[in-house]
Amino acid sequence: MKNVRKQGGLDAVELRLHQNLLSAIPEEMGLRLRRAAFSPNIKERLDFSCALTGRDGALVAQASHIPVHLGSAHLTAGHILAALGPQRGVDALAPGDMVLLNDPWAGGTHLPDITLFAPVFCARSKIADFGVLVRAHHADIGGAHPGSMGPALDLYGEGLVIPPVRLFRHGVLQQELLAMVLANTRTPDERQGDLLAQAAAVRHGVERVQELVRDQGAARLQRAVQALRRHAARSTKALLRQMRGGRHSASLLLDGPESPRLRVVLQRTPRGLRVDFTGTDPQVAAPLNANRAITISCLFYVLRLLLDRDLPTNSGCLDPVEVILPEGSLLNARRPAAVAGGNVETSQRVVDLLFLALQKAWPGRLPACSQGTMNNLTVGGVRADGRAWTFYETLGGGAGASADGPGESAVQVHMTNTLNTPVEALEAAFPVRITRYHLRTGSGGAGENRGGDGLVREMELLEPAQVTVLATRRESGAPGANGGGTGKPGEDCVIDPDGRMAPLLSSVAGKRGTRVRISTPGGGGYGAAVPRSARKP
Amino acid sequence: MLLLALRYRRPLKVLRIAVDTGGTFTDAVADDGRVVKVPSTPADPSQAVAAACAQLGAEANTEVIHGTTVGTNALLTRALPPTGAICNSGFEHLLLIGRQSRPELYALAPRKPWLPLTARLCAGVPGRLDHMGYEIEAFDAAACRRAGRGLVERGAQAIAVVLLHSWHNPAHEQAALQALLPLGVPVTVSSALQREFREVERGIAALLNAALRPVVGPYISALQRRLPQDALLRIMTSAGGTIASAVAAEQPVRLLLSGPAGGVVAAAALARTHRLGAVLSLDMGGTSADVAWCEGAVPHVPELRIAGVSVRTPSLAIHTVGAGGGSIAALDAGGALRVGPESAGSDPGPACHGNDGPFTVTDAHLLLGNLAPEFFPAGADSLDRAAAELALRALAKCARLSPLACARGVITLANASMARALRFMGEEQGRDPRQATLLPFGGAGGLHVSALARSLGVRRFLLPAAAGAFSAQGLLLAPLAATRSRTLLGALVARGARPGRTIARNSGQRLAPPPAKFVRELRDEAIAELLDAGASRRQVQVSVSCDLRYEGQSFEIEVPLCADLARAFHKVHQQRAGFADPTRRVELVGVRVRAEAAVPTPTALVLPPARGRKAQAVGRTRTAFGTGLPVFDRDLLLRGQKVCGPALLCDHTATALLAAGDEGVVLADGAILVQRGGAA
Repeated sequence: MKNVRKQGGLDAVELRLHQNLLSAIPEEMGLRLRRAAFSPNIKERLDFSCALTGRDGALVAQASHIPVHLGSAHLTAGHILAALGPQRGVDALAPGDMVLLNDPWAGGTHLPDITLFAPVFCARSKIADFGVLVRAHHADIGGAHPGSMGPALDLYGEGLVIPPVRLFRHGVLQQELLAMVLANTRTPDERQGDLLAQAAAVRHGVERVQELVRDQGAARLQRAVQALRRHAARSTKALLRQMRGGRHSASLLLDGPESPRLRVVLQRTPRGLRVDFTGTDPQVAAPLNANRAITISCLFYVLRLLLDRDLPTNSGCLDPVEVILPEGSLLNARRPAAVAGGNVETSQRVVDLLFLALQKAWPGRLPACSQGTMNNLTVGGVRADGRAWTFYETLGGGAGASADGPGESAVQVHMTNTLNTPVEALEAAFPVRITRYHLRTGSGGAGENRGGDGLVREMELLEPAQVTVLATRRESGAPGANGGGTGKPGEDCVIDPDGRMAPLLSSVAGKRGTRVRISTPGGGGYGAAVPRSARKP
Repeated sequence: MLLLALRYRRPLKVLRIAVDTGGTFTDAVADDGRVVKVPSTPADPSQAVAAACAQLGAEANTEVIHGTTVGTNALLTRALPPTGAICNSGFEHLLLIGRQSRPELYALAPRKPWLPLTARLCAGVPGRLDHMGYEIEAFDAAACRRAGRGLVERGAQAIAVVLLHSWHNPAHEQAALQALLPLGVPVTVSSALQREFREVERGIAALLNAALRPVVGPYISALQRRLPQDALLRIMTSAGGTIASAVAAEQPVRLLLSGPAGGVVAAAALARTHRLGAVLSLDMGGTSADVAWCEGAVPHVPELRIAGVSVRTPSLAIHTVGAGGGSIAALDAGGALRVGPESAGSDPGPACHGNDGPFTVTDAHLLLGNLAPEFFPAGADSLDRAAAELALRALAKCARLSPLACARGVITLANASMARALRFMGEEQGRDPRQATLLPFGGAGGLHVSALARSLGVRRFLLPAAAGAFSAQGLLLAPLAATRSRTLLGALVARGARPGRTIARNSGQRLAPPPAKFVRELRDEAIAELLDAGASRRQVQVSVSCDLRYEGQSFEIEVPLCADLARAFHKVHQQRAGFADPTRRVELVGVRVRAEAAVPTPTALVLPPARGRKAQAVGRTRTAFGTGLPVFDRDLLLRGQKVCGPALLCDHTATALLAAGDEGVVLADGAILVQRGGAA
């Protein structure tokens, strides 16, 4: 057949077939991790991600777990391969090794996200042909605040920093290293359980890759990986061609008028798209800085939203995109900036920023901004018997309305999709009582289609505890689109046992009987609201 | 004989008929082996069910076992009536908030799964229990009735009640039930369905149950009226057992997988009969394929997922993938072919139905010569080859493939998504799918099994007789069953643990009640349900299992009750999760009781022996490419005959495809056991 198109030896059927084979691996790893993990954070809230990387560290496949980890896997693998590559001679990465890390400037994101990575070697090759990694949010990795998500001024105040180090050498667990890590967390038992579960998932991934290499042959599989990358790049390019030409700029404050400003300019180029964050404010002495990995993840996420659901998620999606990220800015901070909230807060604002710019490039296609925060709540204390306890949760809010309809209410938006902890499970495990948990009616922005409503969650402390809230969108609400109204900003308050109410600013030592009430932001509206009188009866 | 008659209260020679409603046909099987297929009547499925029963000679004391999709379809098509939800005050929107997650990660406008509930139909009532079940605030029954009346005025046609910690202490929910009953709409309280913690999943089960009652209840009454008077009607549950029709009308949430469960029960039974060991069942129909792993018995799960919603109700572990005969083939933006999950449905249907439908898996089979339309109930001319070819050429041109490569590619990709689901099923159990025997059924399962066996590395597969009516056969085999469960949330010590002896948790604040008392309560309730449904006490067998986890975990593993639970748990955990830690404390989260009453074994078909006669092909299929396949009529095959691939095996219910090298032998019951040929 003359007109049969082969892409690196792969036709339209083989492409999809290999996409299936490769993406099944991280999905199965996720199943494994979920079945084995200890903490509710991984098991019930699914705050983890699994990925498969290639010879050059590029992302080959990633399961749809949590978006904020999306697209940072290639930076992780790149760092590890650079740090522990063949140049280390006898000390280079070898089969059976497993690397542990969380250092935001050595392949990590924020400190609670602990990554395990294992190289996969085909036959006798010296360079790892593939890598598998599992990144999971651990409920505590030390630092001044339980949950490691508190208001620190720099990285060292946020917890234990782990550069790429081997937790397993030739398949043997390095007990001393593990002991060292566990000694630095408030919940060593749970950490150990989760880390071992993570290791089991990584091992499963390694076995599955080896099986696939045996079935398909190393050379054929590498060709397929390259073809899939080109496939993703081609699809992304086709998408970007639909954008309006010219420069589309947007700027947005992280929160109120005192807060740093984010800026972006989108411009179509012959190669695809240039995304220029120049003009974004410098990094700050607060835990709201993002490193490069986080900012890239946000961009990847927004592209993924617009791309066809069936396309493979690999480095090819970013190939036609040129990113300019000024060093030392809020979105590409220098060591040792504090970054705990970069993942969970600033990331949400980067998505909003890109939405605002894309609304100009693509009128009508994008919805209004969503709540734009994760409302991170950490509560912890020490029991009478000396055992420390801590739990961490994020709260949903209003989603932005779109041309198609109103925004969803009380839902996790954009860069996270973690489940809540059931009230019945929470009250049985920790000395707290939930006293309110309902929709924050009327908090969504007005419009032809209304923004989704936020929610209200109120908790009573049954024992003294430290309560920490890390949240934004407390001063300005989520902007609407196409004339739609702004959503209500969030509100956090502390209610003393005697009923006095005060705003909750970041962290508070609560007494027995103290209540903490979090009201999450609403989403932006879409289209100008039609006044009641002008409506047809 | 006399003893048998005593054991089974109904007369010994009672006719038993199983009826399974499908999208196109309603299949019925009698326990003497007769099979009938009548066209389904979607407007009122009970018509077809009654017609099928009549054809099989149903009479006054006939027992009819039914697998229904009436409730499931109402949920899938969002046709459930508006339903109210009453929660604790301050928690009004508990079920709307759900778990706060969105089902699709990358959606521009995220939507939570649909529920028959809106914010207007949410209400809160004063009254609160703590996590030990003690009252913190008294329940206000008058406020509850006012709230209920308000909901009915705002259009609620049923009401669900879910109150925090009712799994521990149902008193407040019982008070709510009493307050709401006078309103005259169906009311379901969450603790009446199960005594398990996690309020959202328990509450969603209650909500759906309440919403399903106005749909399923009238359907069951209508069916009962259409059947001969005094015919005994039983309904299949998601958990693979049958329940009395009156119970089904009260608790329709238990029927959500009533349809697929029958096939899985039949697969497990056939695996036992032929001593196959572990079996992966594959039920492939028009829009989707259901897969399950069974080894001796089918694994149960406490929760099922349907239409994006997690529903806490006991179920067989069945996984559904969007791959069926009607799955649509199309190209993505980057030029790669994809198959499903969208389906052509029955309107317009596949291209070969001649209604301008898209190119589907069925069309690919037709053009590749994998179908013999002369065996179809609608006859040889029922399929439009020209229309299918036209659709194929258009697709192949866009994909820059030859038509042959394109048609084969469509089948390959449909196989890939099923292979993945089958692998996941094994993975879920911590087992290697290569050790299993594949067992395909449904109209199209047999067409894909050989290729699936090859891609999974499975060595053999079994093609059951009358595979198109296999689910109905399973209904005949399903025991009468009742399940009860209860959360306990106590702790066992890792070593030397014994049921009935629990250890204080949280420095003495909290002592879990001894399970023995609960086990007895749950067992008595379950047995009572079976006795009510007509079983006798001596038929009933009870099994007890425990939900266990390591302390600190948030996910339980079910382990059958035994002397050393902790040890059994470590073993299962090792198998499922890849590690175990015997030094960790094991926590007893809940207990489950399953009571079953076996049913009379249906008469098995016995084929006459071949005595040296070879199996003869009855014809060859037509194909758009080269020569077709030899066709064997399964009704003409005899015991011990060999059939070698490439070949097509047909009866009036289903088609199976053997690839070159596959070698099948006909067994006494008409099933064909095939050893896969070719390299691994």
